[in-house]
Amino acid sequence: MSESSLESTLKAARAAHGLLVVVDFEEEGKTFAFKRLTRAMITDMKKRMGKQPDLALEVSLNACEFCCVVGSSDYSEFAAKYPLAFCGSEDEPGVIDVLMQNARGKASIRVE
Amino acid sequence: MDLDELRAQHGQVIRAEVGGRELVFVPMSIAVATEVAARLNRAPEVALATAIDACRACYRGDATAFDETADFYPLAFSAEQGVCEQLLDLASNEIAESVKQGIRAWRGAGRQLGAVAESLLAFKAYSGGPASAKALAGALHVAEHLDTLKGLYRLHVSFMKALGRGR
Repeated sequence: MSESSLESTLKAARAAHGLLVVVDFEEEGKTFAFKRLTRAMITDMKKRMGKQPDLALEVSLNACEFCCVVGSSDYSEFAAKYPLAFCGSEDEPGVIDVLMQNARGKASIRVE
Repeated sequence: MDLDELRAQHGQVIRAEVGGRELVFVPMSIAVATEVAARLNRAPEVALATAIDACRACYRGDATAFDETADFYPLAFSAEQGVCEQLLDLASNEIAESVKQGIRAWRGAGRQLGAVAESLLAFKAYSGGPASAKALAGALHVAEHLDTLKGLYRLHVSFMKALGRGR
């Protein structure tokens, strides 16, 4: 995908879905964009992770796939190659961590 | 109803700014907080939905604004560092620190049978005087599970597992 067509695709996705999380794989020249996680999706993720914590990686990858709005045709291939880019590791956050952060927003909560 | 009126009526309020919107919540009663905590503990897989429902019940303002914000930023209302956690903390402000520790241990144990069993054994060993956090958590587990046969079975399994480990 040329740079200008990628730009216009991202612009269209941003218009359709609002805030996006964009990930560039520079070596492969591939860009993915992810829309926000919905409340239903987060509830479902927590439910699955609670029941089967050993499947956390799969659940995170599936959630990213659900949110992938740009580059989704190549998602499976990249998820198999670079799973930690999407589901994160202890040291470095992945796409799912940023999506979860977005779902929290910059909330300030105080008792008065 | 404005903020001063709410504060006069409820003593304290929780103000949360989420996604540029200001939302006001009034405190839960101890009974409601206990019920919410029990539900969070019983069904951790639907904890987020439980937390958001609890927040909605305490929210004072335009319901549509709450639903829109909760759809957009659901984790801001969770029981882990969200509004629900503050509501639960506020409800337990009046409770002694040792009891709070017991509640935390009870909530923290969730469905981990090992942790439940440790609490139950501490409760079983309790013989009067000030109770430890674990003994209190054990008492809460008993109270939580006593009302169903399935609950009793889970308690039994916890005991068997703990005893199997030679504790």
